[in-house]
Amino acid sequence: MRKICPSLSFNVSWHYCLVFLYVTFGSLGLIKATILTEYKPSPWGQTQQMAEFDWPPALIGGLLIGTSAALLLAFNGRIAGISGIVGGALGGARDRSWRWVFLIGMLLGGTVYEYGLSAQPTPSSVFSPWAMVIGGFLVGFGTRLGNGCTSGHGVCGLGRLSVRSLAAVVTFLSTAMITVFVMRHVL
Amino acid sequence: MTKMRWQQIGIALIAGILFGFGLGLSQMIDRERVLGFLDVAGTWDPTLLFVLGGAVSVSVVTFQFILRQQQPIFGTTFTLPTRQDIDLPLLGGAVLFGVGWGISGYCPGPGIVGLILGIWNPILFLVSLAAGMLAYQGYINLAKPPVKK
Repeated sequence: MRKICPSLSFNVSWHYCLVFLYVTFGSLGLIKATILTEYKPSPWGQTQQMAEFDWPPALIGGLLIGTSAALLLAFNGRIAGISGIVGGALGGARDRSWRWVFLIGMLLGGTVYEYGLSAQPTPSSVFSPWAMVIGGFLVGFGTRLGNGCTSGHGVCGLGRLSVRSLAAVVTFLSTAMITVFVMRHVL
Repeated sequence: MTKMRWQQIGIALIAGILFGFGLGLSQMIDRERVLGFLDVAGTWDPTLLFVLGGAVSVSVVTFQFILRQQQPIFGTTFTLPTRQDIDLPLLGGAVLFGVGWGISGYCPGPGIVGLILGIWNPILFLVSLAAGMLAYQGYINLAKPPVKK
């Protein structure tokens, strides 16, 4: 046990935090899946309350994202945080070139998948201009203020076992869930 | 530019391609998937759980080995955040980001890769995201005037 969180002054070993996160989200998923299969024993696609989904591509996609973050750290010593990369590319960072190259790479990778290997095109969502304008602004401001987004705090921060990142991930995931709940079920 | 910088740019390209491909394959560029995951009270979509779980399981294992090295392979130092404290800007920023993510269904990565779909949503999202980032920069500059050299 070591003191890792001076400002909140509680002693936790890191691995417990991470195991806790995994167990919480994992069991949530399992519980939901069990309940739903009891209602309807048919495969995922037929259930009313759980969306149709395909886990192997999701998992492989996740592994690729993790591999990308590992490459960037091992070779360049950089954190693959998209909001940080975009912020640096837009603003005052001294070496901006690698950031722009990374962003162009993202577009290339996406294009190779979407137009080269994808079995069916990604469905385009409903055009919602206000959601984009307001949401985009908040994401831009919030990720700079909080020093990271899903990739920087989520993939890389948790990978580094950073308590700050864990706090950020728990905060933005729960806030986002509350926001969607309010927007879809309250308003 | 030095050889090392070119090597770094090559790695950035490869890492970017993997990242974009991963986001496409895992369907994160479809914001309905993301909103479906966040909508725990509705038709819940577990896709994002697998994506984040897969990515974190790779980073958590590999980073332990990588960060034991003296220096990165094509570089001199690891550029890492050093802070450990949990402060108000961190949590406030995370709250703002969470609200924006819930409203739009995009976080920065999928917003960028979403551009390739040729639809308006990601374009508007990114323009607004850039505005938000610049607004933050302006706010910081107002709070702390830059040191004159």
